Amino acid sequence: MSESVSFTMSVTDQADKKMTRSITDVDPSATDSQIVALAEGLNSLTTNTLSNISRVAKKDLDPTITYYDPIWDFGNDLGVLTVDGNTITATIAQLPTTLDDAIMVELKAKIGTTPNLNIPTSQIFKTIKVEFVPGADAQYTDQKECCFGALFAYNEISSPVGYFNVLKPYAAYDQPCTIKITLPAGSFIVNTTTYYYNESVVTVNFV
Amino acid sequence: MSTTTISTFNNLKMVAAFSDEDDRTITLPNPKPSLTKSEIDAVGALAVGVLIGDKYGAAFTRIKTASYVEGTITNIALD
Repeated sequence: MSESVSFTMSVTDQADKKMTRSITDVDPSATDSQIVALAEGLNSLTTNTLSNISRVAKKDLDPTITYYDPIWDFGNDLGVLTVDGNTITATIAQLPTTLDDAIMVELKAKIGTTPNLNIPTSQIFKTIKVEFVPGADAQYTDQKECCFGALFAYNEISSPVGYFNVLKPYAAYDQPCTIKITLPAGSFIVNTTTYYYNESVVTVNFV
Repeated sequence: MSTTTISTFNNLKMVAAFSDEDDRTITLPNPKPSLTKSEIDAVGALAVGVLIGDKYGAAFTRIKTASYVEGTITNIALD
């Protein structure tokens, strides 16, 4: 888990004006006594009176699987979804063979917070990378030839619902294809990701 | 041009060096006059193991420079 630490010094000058100085980028392993010593040392170079020192620590959301426990609900046996850290991989076993039947994939994710985790909106994911990766038996090594590939950026949303679409297929082949969704560090999905194949809807619930 | 002097300032500007050769500036208001190298170095020693670089968390090495920066803030009347 990424942590950023800073400390603030509340001081009063000789005209009785109160000020706060913030010293950022402090080693998270620095002890309170080290921080106090540095704050007092810095203030000793001035004519100000030091009244308070506060250590401020901010932690990024840990993107590990601990925060979400996916429940997979496949309506038509399209394949298997696995979650590893902040990467969700879906393997689609069947692909259409003609462009007319090409896959349209729409991924929807609801972003929200839970009282326990108190996730700030700045922690929700800003960019979702979706790759279509050829499976182990694929004849084609170019991911675009597997089915179709689209990399897109998803603008930050606040809440509660956001979605992004795959654009259009390059081609359709009958090779297994993997959808790999990579979330940036700090991302958190609280609700539903849905994708459908030939208008069949498969709903995956993240709890 | 009509101007109004708002305030004066007197700051101690210290440039802190880090192991990735990226500097950071620490500015403190109302410095004591006639600060010495030993006083500055003593504070620098306290920053070892506490301050880190803002890009890659590089280790603080020393206070490279320390300067008195004084000036006057003057507003220009625009109406």
